[in-house]
Amino acid sequence: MLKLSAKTPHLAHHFNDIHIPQAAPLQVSHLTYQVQQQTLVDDISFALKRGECCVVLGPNGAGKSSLLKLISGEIGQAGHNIRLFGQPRDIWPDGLLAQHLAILPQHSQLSFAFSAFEVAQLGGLSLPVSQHKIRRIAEQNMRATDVLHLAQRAYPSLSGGEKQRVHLARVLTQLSCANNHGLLILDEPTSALDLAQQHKVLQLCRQLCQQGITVLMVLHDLNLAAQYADRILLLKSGQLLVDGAPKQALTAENIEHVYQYPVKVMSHPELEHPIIMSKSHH
Amino acid sequence: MLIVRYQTRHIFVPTGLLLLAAAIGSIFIGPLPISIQQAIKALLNQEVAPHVSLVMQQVRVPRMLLCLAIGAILALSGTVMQGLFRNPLADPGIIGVSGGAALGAALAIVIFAPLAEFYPLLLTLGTVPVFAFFGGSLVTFLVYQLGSNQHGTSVAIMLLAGVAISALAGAALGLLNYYADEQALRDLALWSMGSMAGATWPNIALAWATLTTLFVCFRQDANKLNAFLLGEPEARHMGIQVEVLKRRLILLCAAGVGISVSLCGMIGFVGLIIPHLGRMLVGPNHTLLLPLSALLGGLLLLIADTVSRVIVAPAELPVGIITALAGAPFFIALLFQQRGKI
Repeated sequence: MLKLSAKTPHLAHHFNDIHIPQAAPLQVSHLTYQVQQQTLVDDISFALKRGECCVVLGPNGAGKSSLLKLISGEIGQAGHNIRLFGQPRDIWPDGLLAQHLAILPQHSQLSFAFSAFEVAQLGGLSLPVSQHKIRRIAEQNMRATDVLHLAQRAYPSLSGGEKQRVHLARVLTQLSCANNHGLLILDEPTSALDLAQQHKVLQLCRQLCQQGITVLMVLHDLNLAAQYADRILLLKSGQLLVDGAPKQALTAENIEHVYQYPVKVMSHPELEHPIIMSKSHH
Repeated sequence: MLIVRYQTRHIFVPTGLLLLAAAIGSIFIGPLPISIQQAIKALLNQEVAPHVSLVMQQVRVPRMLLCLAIGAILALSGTVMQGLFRNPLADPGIIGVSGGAALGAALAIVIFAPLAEFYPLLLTLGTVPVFAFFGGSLVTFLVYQLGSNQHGTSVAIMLLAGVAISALAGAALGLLNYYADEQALRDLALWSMGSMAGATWPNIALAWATLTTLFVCFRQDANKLNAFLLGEPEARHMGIQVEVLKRRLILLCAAGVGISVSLCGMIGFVGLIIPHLGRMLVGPNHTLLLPLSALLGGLLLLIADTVSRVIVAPAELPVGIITALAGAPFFIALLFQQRGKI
């Protein structure tokens, strides 16, 4: 059962009989978002199961970021079109929502010289536990994301990959009271990382999914998506065109249609997931 | 490899001792030499020469207390504004908040000057600080709206807005000079450079009440302010009601700056230097930075005021001149360091 903070008694009745394990972590139904008569997100519906690793793909301007921002609440009024763990997004109290939904941004503008450890601890802001406990949780998560040795380094002096993993430790700290019923949204988490770092971050995401955390992320690299996703959402012009497992979703036909570029799809010799290669235009 | 190794809590003891020493020292230093025995007797209300007792009880002790409070208020407001703007160049003086507050205060002085004869307290404790507060908050909201977009705040716009608003406030203050009567004119002259000469007991009470309020409120928001440094959307995703927090902090800062301007005029650069100094000592974590800033701010203003009293004795310099002499080169050095980012 969800525990409500004492500060939000007026919302308590909305949350009376939720049994989180039964409800879908994320349910999007007929979501549409328009700005100045331009439809950025066009009637999108899908639901995620607990522990699923879902990757959103699509060309630039397909509406991937808008979709993520609608779910995270940065833009638009979700109304009842977005449900998190069975409850409409809008009626979640801020603090409680933060314990179940965390977002890893593409870049962070932090330029003040916090230590990496302090950044990881910031995730504990809305948790109903003591500072001491938060320190321990943050430490565990920094170990999990392999940045514990950087704990006392100044954040601005870290490399892109190190910063990203520190932030990952931060959002994991934020979700640590969700009892493995969290939803983690990542906006191009690998864009600033080298090959090894990309795989490390995505492997970590897989591990989180095994623990029961649901992951929704935008990626640009089709092959990374093919390797790590349970499920692929292919977007074009704001519409959800394809929704399925990598093998079914990432066919040459689908990709050529969405990206308007010729590709050849093969099977990975060992891992058996699809590999996408570009064909020459000539 | 840059390792963060701050002094953390250990810095508070030496800073506190230094502040105590400066506070005691400032009582003895001045145009009139006062011995330790005389000072103690005067403080205990025992028999001393009347001029010694007068200087102690009416000038030096009140002034010391006012300096501590105003310095701490300015430093706290500066620290919070830099956090709020996510920018180490924000300072109430530079972005025009002090100018707006001074203009509000000046308006109150000129408009309500005829009443001053009958209700002096109404003016000093009532209308002037309130008008200064409104002037200050108006400017803070304006600069924030102008300077911020979804990617953070633009330093260039923030500083330019500060220039424009300060110029406007300066012109309006000059204009008011023509409409002011003689008493109001004397009061107005004070705003331009700042002075601690108005250290009366009601003023001191107002300053300390303001300081206490600010400190308690800011301390409660210290952790949220830390998260705010990550960016507004990130703070929102962490469960912070960003708009509410922003509005509350802007109003509190404007109240602090407004009240200190109405009591002592425009004293620049305390809110700029101190947060930097504090961050060098304990890092950017506001739970430690805020109390340290308060201590350092009081210390800086106390030293500046003591210098301003003795350097051209028996006359005295406006304390704003001393803080500007120390702060302007500091500001230029900061600009130099940040010039790639502006």
